[in-house]
Amino acid sequence: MKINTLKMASSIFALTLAFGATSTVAQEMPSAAEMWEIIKKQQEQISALERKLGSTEQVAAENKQKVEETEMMVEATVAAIEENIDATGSGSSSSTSLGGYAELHYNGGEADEIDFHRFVIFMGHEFNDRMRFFSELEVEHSIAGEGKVGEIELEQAFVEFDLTENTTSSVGLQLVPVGILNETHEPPTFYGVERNAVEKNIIPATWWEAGVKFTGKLGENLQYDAMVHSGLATPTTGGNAFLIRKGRQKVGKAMWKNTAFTGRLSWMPVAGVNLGASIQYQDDLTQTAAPTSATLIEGHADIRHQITPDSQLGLRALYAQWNLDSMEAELVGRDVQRGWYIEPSYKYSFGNGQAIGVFTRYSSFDNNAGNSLETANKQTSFGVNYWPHQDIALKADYQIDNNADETKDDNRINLGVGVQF
Amino acid sequence: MKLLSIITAFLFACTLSANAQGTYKPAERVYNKTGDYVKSFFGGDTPKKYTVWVIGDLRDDINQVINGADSTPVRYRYWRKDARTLWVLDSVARTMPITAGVVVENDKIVDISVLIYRETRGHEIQNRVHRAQYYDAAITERNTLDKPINGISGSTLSVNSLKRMARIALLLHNDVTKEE
Repeated sequence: MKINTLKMASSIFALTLAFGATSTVAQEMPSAAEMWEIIKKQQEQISALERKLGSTEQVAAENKQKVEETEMMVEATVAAIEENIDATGSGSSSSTSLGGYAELHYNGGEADEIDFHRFVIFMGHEFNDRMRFFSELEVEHSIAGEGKVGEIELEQAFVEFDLTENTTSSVGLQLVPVGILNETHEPPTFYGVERNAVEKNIIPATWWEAGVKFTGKLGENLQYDAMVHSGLATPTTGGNAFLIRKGRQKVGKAMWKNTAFTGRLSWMPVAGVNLGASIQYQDDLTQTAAPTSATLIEGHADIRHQITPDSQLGLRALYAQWNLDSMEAELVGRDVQRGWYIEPSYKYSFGNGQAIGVFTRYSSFDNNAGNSLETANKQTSFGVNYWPHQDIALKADYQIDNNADETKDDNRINLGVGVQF
Repeated sequence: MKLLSIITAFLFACTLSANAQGTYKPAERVYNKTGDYVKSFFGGDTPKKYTVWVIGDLRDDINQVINGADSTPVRYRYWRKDARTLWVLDSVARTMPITAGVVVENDKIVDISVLIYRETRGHEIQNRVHRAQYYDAAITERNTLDKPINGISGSTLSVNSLKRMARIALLLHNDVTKEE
C-alpha cells in the first residue's frame, strides 16, 4: 500500500515537471507570424545568393570567352608575324632566296695590287618540294666591259628535280663535279687568299658547263654524280695551245661539236673524312681540226677531325692529271698535264662563332708534263685565317714560288677579306 | 655522239617535266614525315603539343646561337611526354632552310634527323655517320655543344645549320624542363 502510494506520488511529480517544461518551451518559440517573417528573410537571402552566383558564373563565362578570344588574337598575330617574316625572305621558308659571297684581295710582291676579285649573287627559287632553280651571277675584278679587266659571268643557272628520295637530277648551266674547290669556293670555306694553283690550272676551277647531271646515293655514305655536258675547246696553236684552263668556253655561244662526260664518286667512311674520285672524258678537247681525246682523272681527300669541341685538325690533298691523245699535243709536251697539293691546317674556335686557323700548303702543277724537261711550277704557302663570324674571313698568307720559269717567281704576302651570306 | 647526247638530254628533260607535272608527290623530298618521326619516339603515340614563347634570357641565348643566320622566331612548338621533348626546327644553310627533328631527354640529344633538305649541295648531313656524332650531346654554359662534331667537305653551311638546330633544341628543352 505504502509502495503504491509512493509510485503515484512520483508519477504526479514527473507529470508536473513535464507539463512545466512544455509550457516554458512554448513560451520561447516564435509565433507563426514571426516564423513567416524569418522564412521570407531567408528566401530573400537565398535569392540574393542565387543572383550573386549567377552573376559570378556569367563573369566566368565572359572571362573564358575573353581568354579564348585573346588566344585567337595572339595566334593570328603570331601567324601574321611569321608569314610576314617569310614573305620578306628573312624567314626560313620563303620560296625565293638570295645569297652570295665576295672577296677583296691585296697581292704584294711584284703584283702589288688590290683587287675586288669576286662579287657573287646567288638567287634560288623553290617551285615545290621536288623542283627548284638555282643561279649564281658573278662580277670579277670589280669592273667589266670592253677594255676593262673584269668580267660578268653567269656561273650557275640550273633547274633541279628530285626524281626519287635518293636521286636528283639537274639541267642547265652548272659546275662540273670535280675536285674540292670547284663546287665549294666561298671565301670562308678555304685557307689562303687566292685559290690553290693546282685546281685553277689543272682542273680548271672554276669550271662550269651546260648539261644534265644525276646525283644519287649508292649506299648510306657513298654518292655518285654523273654529268653529260658541253666541253672544253682549247687552242691548238700558240703559247696557250692545249692549255686546259684556256679551253673554258663558259657556255657563251660555246661550241658543242663534242660532248663531255664526267663521273664522280664521293665516300664518307667516317664522320669528318671525305674521299672523292672523278673521271672526265671528252672525245675532242679542241673541237676543231686537231682531234684530241682527253681524259681527266682526279682524286682527293678532305679530312676535318675535331680534337675537342673547339679544336680541329684539317688535311686536304688532291691529285689531278689530264691525258691528251694527239700528236699535236704531244709535240708541245702538253699531252700530260698534272698537279697535286697537300694542305694541313689547325683551327681553334672561341667566343660566339669566332675562330682562328693556320695552314700551310705545298703544291705543284705542270701543264707541260709530257716533255722531258723540268717544267713543274711549285709553290709553298703558309698563313692564317681569322673568322670573326663563321661567314666572314680575314686572311693573310705568304707564298713562295718556285716556278719553272724563274722570271715568274713572285714571293709575296697576300691579304684578303671574304664574306658569304 | 653529239646528236645522241642532245636527243638524250631533250628526252630526259621531257621525262622530268612530265614526271614532275603528272606524279607530283610532295613527300618525295621529305626524308621522314614529321608525324611518323614524332610517333617513332613516343611509342607509336602522338603526345600533346606545347608552345614555348621565346622571351627573356631564352631569346638572348637563341639569338646568340643563331648569330644572324636566321631570324629568331616568336615561339616554338614541341611535343612532350614525361622527360622527353621533340622539336621540329628550320635553319637556313646556304640559301634554303633545312628542316630537322631533334629529340632531347635528360638534357641530352637522343636523335637528330634531317626531315626536309632543300639545298643543292650538302645533303651528306643526313648520313648516319654524321648524325651519330650528336647523340648524347649537351649544351655548355657558352651555348655550344659539349661534343666535337666533325665537319663535311663541301657541306660546311649545312653542318653549321644542323649544329645550330641541335643547340637550339637543347636550350629549349632545358627551358621547358628547368622548373621541374
